[in-house]
Amino acid sequence: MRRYEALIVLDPDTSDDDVKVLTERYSGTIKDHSGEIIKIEDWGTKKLAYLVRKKDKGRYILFDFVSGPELINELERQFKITEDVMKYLSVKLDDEVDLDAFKAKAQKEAVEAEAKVAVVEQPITEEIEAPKDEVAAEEQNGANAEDVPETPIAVSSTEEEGE
Amino acid sequence: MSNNRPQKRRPFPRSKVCRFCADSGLRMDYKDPGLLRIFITERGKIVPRRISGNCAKHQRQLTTAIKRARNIALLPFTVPRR
Repeated sequence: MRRYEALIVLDPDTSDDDVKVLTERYSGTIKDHSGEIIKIEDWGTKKLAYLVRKKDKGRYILFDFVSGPELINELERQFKITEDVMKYLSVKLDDEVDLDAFKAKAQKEAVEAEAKVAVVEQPITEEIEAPKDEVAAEEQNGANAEDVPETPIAVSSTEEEGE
Repeated sequence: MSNNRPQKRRPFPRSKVCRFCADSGLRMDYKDPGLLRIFITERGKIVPRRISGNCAKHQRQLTTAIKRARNIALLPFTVPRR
């Protein structure tokens, strides 16, 4: 099994429903080929660096998955025949991913993340008293701080003239 | 002969250390056009190693990342002159 990443650019005029249908179709294909989806990201509509099919915007969708190499052929074939997919790029991130080990790791990380949240919540109650003095100190400094930025700006402008 | 004239010009500033070596947390990724944009000129060309100061390994990774980003329209191939 290998880890892949496929980034597709959809037509910006595709409706949200169609986007949903398409993402479901592709994730279905991945699963049919005994692939495992790690994540699907919707980046929303972004401006393109150059015109594609006379459009200057595109909707980016990222699929991150683990599968065998045969899936890529099938997935790219589907990207090609779908009108709404303007561009696609599939990249191999990793050879030889052990799916079980990967799942175990993901699970472990999820547990650790939960543990971290629990740890973070505790100190907040303890620190409530401490910051008061700091805030007062910062307010005093605030008046001085306003004057400071002017000098660096002046310095940088003279440097530019020198060049 | 113009060759005898001492050369004074050093027009571009050079950074000597590879940024990716200096900051190991910085990872090359074609999905991060903001980072890659530092290493292309305003015309869209890849900045050569002698100017960017990248080490060979990271420059190789950088070129593939930039070329991937170009392919998927995150970065321009060229920026046409108006």
